[in-house]
Amino acid sequence: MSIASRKFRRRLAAICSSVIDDAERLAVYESDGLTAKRQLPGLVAIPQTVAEVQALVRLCADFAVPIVARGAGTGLSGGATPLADGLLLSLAKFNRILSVDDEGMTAVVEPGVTNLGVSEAVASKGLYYAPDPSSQIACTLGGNVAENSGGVHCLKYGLTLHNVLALKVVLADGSLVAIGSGALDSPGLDLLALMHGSEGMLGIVVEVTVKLLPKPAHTQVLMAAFEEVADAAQAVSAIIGSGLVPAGLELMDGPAIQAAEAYAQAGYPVAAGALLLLELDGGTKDEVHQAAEAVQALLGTAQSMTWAESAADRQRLWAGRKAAFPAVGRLAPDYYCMDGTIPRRELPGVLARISELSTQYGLRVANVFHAGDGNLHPLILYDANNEDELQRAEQFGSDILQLCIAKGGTITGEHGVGVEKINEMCVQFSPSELTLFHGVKAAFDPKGLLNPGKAVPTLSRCAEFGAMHVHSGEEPFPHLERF
Amino acid sequence: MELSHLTEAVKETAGKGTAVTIRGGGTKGWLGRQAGRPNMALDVSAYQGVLDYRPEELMIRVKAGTRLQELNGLLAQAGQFLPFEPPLSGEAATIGGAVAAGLSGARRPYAGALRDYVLGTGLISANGEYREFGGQVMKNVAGYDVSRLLAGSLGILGVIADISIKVLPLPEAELTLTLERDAATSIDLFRSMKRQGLPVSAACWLGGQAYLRLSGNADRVRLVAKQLKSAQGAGEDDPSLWARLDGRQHGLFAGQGDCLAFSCEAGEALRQGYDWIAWGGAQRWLCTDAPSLAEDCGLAWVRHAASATDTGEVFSPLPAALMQIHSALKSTFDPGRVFNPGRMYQEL
Repeated sequence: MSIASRKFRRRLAAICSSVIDDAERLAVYESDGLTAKRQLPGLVAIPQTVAEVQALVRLCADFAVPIVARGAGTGLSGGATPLADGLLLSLAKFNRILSVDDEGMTAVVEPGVTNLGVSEAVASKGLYYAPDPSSQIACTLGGNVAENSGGVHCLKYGLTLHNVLALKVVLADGSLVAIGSGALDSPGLDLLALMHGSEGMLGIVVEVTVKLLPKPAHTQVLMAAFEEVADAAQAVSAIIGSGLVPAGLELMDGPAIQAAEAYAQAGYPVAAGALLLLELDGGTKDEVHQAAEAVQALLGTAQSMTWAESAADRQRLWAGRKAAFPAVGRLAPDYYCMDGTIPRRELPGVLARISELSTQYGLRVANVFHAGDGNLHPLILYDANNEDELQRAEQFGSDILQLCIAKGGTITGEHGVGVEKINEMCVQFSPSELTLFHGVKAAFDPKGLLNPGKAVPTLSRCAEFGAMHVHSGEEPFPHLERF
Repeated sequence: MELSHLTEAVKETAGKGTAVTIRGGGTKGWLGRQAGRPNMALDVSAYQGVLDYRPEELMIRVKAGTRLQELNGLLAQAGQFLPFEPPLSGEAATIGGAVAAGLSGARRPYAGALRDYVLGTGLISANGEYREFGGQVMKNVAGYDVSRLLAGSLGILGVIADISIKVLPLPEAELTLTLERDAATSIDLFRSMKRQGLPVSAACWLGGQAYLRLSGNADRVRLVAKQLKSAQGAGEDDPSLWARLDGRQHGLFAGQGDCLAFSCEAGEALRQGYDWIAWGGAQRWLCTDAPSLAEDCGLAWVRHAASATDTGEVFSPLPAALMQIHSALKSTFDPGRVFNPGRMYQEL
């Protein structure tokens, strides 16, 4: 029995009125934000109620049909790449904010609500939802949980994991469970932590309870230009080392500055080698001004400094950074966005090496960096219509990820593994660690029907990829010279 | 002690299939059920020391047997601290024990839980194999978040060997205040202060008094304290109160009976009289001689057993579907089911 069987389709139609099975409309779902990987799904179902999701999951279990859950499809790692023999489960109709507790500062939302939609719905009460991935106008809370999304404010306010209190999840057998609660302690193992970043492989999130925060009374943004990336990186370490925790701390290199300025006219100094954007917030103007003075005293090597206090000026400074991806996208037909995290002190060396690799592969690269938490986004420019360039871009990306592992970091800070970085998982984790991950999946999904084949490679795939596990922070064959 | 010595010791004790009770500082005997079957003790407290500490990276990586007191002292020298304020339940308490117990202190509603600050862990299984999850960086979504799953796992998934933790700068100023108030209006005050974004880092009600701790920018703390003093008649109090309560060094815990801690939303109506209301209203304690679950049966609860021979349930029961997942996870991590059997639930 399979997704192609008439019996399956008949029962599917009886559960859910929104089913897509014609090639033209299926094409809408052929990829997520990782457009290099395309695959038409077997079928698409767009359920409207939790009961429908449960019935769909049970049906798929009966027919051994794999399920790929999808939110807005903005993910960058192919977590929602469809399967030809699978059902794509769109949660687009789960787009309601179910309740807001103003005094208790929580909101209960459906997984298809957009990230920004949550903050907009509570803005009139002076509240907001802290994680703010740059795709926040489109990406949904369900996807944010699946990827444990970050944003520019996570140094101070945390990732999705730190801002979600509870989930309702449909498990692989169709049962509905509550994980976590409005209380601060829940009995048993911390399954809420495990669900975050699990890329739709452990269950299907159908409701999210988020923590809201009061909007800070005062905010100030600093733009500082540096001649060299190393100077800017040094300044970041000095700021953090001094005991300040800025709300946001972002760094861009020369190519990224130029692209962003050409696109957004944010007033960035295009001749600078590095640009630092720093946001300070607090409960009083004095408090923020004191912090600003402390920051200023630590930026001796900056070529220029511009403070923005009004909302309009702050937005203008951020606009360039938030548009960095599309801005860089204008420089070439395609770009490939990487997502490694490294200890911050390794930044100058890693950027220098990326620059060497750029020359070696003959592909341009621009770098934006969540400097506060060490999350690097090199954007590799290429032309997908040129098969050779695509291959070189992928190889270049893989080299960057392996470099991140060798420097004691990770292959993905916030975009997830999906199908994109699955080979590099073989480098970051040992066979026995990967085996344990498969065991974790089997504990939730014994038949392996939820988003199979993503995020955790099989050991045979690793053998085929031929990469060896690198123990954290140690390069393989350290006695050999590496260029 | 070297890692290889620890993995050898684990293999020697646990590899034989006998149940193993993992022991760090031995200061948290009151938490969790008693072992369900005959067992051997595995003392991991000798595996101690700092593996990596870089204040400017806001990260410290330590061996699990490192004493909390030592860790707190080291961080304080660099002007940093563990924001989840792990309860110091005795001088010998270790960071490994703190992570396994998953207990957060008074700062919990304002700064987050212990698990929020776990970045990575090394775990040893019964065959002596060492595996690493998470890492030393702030953001990491490669693989399932096993390192945070281990926070609060009570040792049932394996031996936690080392932990990487996010640390933060100490607040510039800190001040503890108290004012006379009943429990219900104290909770209202705590919630309203949090809603306004005031710099509160701890709030509890105890014996007819509300207690508040302010932390942050010195001018701001002074200003808010001044307002509380003039408008509410608050007075300054001993800042050691929080650590004494969290670490069970307070007179509240001197009795012979069990203690019950209920977890709920801070705004939940008070259904009975409590001895201590912590976490701004979100954790409510009974430490009288025979505390009863009856009044709060809908809430999650933890029972801190007074007697070491008690074999009753200690944590509120899990729904069957979640227990099934717990049991499957236990089999995945600990196929021989040798580590701390029954410490969390009889089935695990």
